[in-house]
Amino acid sequence: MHRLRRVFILVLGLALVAAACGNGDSDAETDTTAAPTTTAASSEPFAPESPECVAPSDPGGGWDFTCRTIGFLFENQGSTGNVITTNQPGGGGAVAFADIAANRSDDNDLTIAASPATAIRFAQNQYTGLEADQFRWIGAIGADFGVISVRPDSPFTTLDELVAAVKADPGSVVFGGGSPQGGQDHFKVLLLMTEIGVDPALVPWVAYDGGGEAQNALFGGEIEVFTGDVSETFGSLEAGDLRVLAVLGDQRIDGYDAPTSIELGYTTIFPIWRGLLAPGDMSDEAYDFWVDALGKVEASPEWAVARADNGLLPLRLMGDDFTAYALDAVDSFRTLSLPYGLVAP
Amino acid sequence: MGWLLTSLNFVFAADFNLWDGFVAALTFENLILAVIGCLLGTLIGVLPGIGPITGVAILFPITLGLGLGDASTLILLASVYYGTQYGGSTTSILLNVPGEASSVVTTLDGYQMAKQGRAGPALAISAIGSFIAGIGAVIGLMLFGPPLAEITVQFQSPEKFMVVILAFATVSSLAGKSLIKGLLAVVFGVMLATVGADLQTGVVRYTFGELKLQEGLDFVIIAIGLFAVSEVLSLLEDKVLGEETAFVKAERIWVTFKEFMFSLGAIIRGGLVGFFIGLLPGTGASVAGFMSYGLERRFSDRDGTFGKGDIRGVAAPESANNAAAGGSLIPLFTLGIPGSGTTAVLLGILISMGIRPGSGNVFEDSPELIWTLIASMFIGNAILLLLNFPLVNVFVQILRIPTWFLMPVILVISYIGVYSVNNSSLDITIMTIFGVIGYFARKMDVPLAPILLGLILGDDLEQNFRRSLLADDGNYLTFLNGPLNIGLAIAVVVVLFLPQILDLIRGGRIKEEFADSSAEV
Repeated sequence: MHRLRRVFILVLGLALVAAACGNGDSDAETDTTAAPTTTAASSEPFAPESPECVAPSDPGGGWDFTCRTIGFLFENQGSTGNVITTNQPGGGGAVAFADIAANRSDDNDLTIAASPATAIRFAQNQYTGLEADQFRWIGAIGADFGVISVRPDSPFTTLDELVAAVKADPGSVVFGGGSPQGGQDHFKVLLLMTEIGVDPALVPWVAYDGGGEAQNALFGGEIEVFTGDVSETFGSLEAGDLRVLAVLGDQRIDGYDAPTSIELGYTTIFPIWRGLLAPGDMSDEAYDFWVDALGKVEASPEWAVARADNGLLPLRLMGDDFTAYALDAVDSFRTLSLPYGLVAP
Repeated sequence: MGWLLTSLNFVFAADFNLWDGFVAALTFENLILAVIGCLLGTLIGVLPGIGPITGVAILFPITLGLGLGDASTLILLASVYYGTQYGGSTTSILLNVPGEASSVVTTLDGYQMAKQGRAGPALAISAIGSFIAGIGAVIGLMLFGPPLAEITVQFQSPEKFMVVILAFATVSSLAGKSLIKGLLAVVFGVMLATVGADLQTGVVRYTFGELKLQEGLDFVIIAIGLFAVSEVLSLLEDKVLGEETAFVKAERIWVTFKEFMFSLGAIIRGGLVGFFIGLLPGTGASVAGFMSYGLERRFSDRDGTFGKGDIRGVAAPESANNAAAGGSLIPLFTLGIPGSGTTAVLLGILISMGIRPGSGNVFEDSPELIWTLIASMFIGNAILLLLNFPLVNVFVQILRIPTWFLMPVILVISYIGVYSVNNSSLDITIMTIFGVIGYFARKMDVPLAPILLGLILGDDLEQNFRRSLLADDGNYLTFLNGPLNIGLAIAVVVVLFLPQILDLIRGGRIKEEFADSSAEV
């Protein structure tokens, strides 16, 4: 039905600018899949018939952005025909992943939007019965970074001062962000506290419905530290509404006046990459096709614009490199989550 | 008063001001886009299950694909947004199916009016009220934006908790005959709101292992079940028992001048309540409708006509909705904080156009787009009002369809609409269950609107309560800390005991009042 509605809206959209779209659906690649010649993969390169990207969330969030933007660019770069974005919300992605693993595990036309939140949920067994290596990790392009921020009039002017205060009395500083305990924003606290040797369970954490609400709580003094992302604090930092003690990354960001955790001598980093997964039983030809297509998108000037507009930094992590990186991340997230009862049995 | 002069200077005398915004917005192509957007939005809003947020979020990438300019995109999306809001109210009034949280209370008097053959005036006053309040809110945004943003920051979790309590205090106005039953209904709604993953700990509650319930019960599904499905069941019963009550044929399409003047007070009060409630991020938009209806009924219902088809009961919440949408732009523009789902989508759109709200003054930094956006809101509101002269006529014709045919068709459309949102058969089951619950609730005279009030605000109630205590080390006095909280607490008492207080002031007749209310309970 989702498609039906989108078709409906598309039809109306087309009626808007009657002559704008030159290519109708006549040039949809008609791959003769029924033919048994598919074994001769080298002679007939893989091309998806009805490419689709599943955003395991409602429209409007980060995963939805990934599908819609990258899907548009797949077509724009000539890799595929029109890519349909399907929203399959529920359980922070659990519904979509369960459905795909059970019913569409060999769908060669299918990609799934992913981010570190995906890795965290795999690590905490929130995708019941599914492991991260049961999916194929295509690649990540573009990353946001986590930040440690305080009010401009906060007594903490450096990360060292904040760390010293937390070490002296872990309960004295209230942290907050846009996700629950064990979620993406809280993970920045888990990582930093583990690094400085403080039990994260002793550090107060207040969860808000999204980073915007958490920032309002920081401005109003309800929380003392907000562990958001670069993209959502860009405007506030520029306006002087908050002070960023550290960007949890290894490179300085243009126009974003804050030191990185690495240059301050810490090891904690938190890149929030935007990437794609594929079902576990996707064929190698199809997987290579998607890795290649995503690589083309990453190299395109159109992506550079879309990426910058959305406050993401360049990142290119493809195929095997991305798989190794992501599975490693899942392992370390799991190790961190275990002591706090955040891993579901 | 310095800032007022500065504001006026901004609006009319800056290098790129409101007039330039209108000039940029008012091209032939853009007007066509506005008309199409309003029509498209109304259609999307009428379809059950798809609200303004989804409508705007899905259409935005399409506008990119069409290669529209920034100004055209903003106008198209603003028109779609206002159209969906209006479409949602249309189904509330005609079919007793609230399309979104903010139009639940519109069903109370709107549907009664439709039954009495006054669907035309109800739809018209909804459009007029939205127009006046929407324009008023945009003017408020232009003149008082920056100073009001400071109020937003004052409202932290304890204050928001008190606002939610204030909204609950107006429940008696939704309760119908029995306050006790109204309170039971609210508590049931709050219980429903606890289903799903807890925002603080991520712990999953009352889902019975069902993954799809982790994000909570979907408001739209519950609303359609409780209102539409149970309505069909009741009508079916009436038909079988031979007690069928047909809709009175609509005699008038447009609203009379007298009705308009009668509603004007409600529109202005509703607009003011909505505008200020809209300033509060998160809590804003959904509370506005309930709060304005409750207050309007508390203060203006002298003849007991509310809930029986009083036009002010449509005017107040519909104006409040639209004003809240305008009010919620203030924290967005000045602090970069989206106050509602729709403003969150709008924030994404503005960022993709190179504006970063929250960084200094968006009016100074990117005047072209901001003034064009504001101009497009005026235009969207105006086009929608103009479109409604013919549209009201079309919609009212729907009621000419005989009930035995109309209601099953609505039911089928509702089921298809709900299924289309998530492709989930569980949603269908839940909707049916709540249809049956709604049917028995009607039988027992338990009012339905308070259940939805509880469902909508239950999460805000719980989370703000827990946040307040978490952030203040478990200190309960945090809820009475500061003048804002004390003021809100006084407001709660006033709203709860207004009739008694008025009698005290008039000196007497308290006894009768108590006798009356105890008889009701």
